[in-house]
Amino acid sequence: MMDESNTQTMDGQTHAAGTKAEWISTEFEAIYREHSRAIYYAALRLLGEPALAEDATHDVFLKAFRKIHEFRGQSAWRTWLYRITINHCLNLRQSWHSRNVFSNASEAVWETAAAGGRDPLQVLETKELGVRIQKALEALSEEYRLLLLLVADEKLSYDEISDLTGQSQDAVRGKLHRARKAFVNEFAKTA
Amino acid sequence: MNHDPSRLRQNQRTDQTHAETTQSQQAKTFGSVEELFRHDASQVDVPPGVEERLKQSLASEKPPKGGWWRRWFNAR
Repeated sequence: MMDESNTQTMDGQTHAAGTKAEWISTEFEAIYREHSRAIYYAALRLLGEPALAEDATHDVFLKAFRKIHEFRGQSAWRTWLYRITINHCLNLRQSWHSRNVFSNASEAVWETAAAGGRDPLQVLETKELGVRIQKALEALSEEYRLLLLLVADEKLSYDEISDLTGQSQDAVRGKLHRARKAFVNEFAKTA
Repeated sequence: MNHDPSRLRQNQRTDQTHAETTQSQQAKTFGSVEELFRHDASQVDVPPGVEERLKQSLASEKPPKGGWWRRWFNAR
């Protein structure tokens, strides 16, 4: 058993007693750095509003930290974080507050993109693409929206998507096929 | 009809910018829905304020219960 007064980091360095909190902080920061982009993007496209996605990303990682002792290690961190994100975002969407804030999504996406300091052409492109994707996603069912977002993450396997959505892999593949078609139809309408 | 040369030049510049913009936008073609989403995701950065807020929130949190970090090695 590892002595908790002398903890070892991923690179094999041993930290002296009293630094466990620092080590946990460092390791959790590594989790954040590796997965926050995917979590923020999923939250943004599930909620449709950058301010809500920011809050959701903060809340998801805070929940993860609080529940980290419940993490069994049977799934990857990414999958576990997605599970928290999905539950969090779906709860938000169902709330009265969310239903009233979603209407400003397009402008909010634009403001966030513009604030990023990118090349103006790239911002323009991002704005158009992001807004079109968001509009098309909003027209789909929650189930389709979620499937499309999850399958776009190359770090997730079909097995993990199946686990996250509570469906068999065959069901995921079948619904994904229909979700893609539905999205393409809706996306074409936004042109 | 009398054309104002400065306005004409301005219009030409506007047309040129529009053409470049359109060309740039048309240049992006995606082979699949997933590819489209991945490109979209690559254009979205996590606002830096999230990490700052999270650090502040974590500073007032109790340390997590022991043992979780052992599982970390298997799952990350």
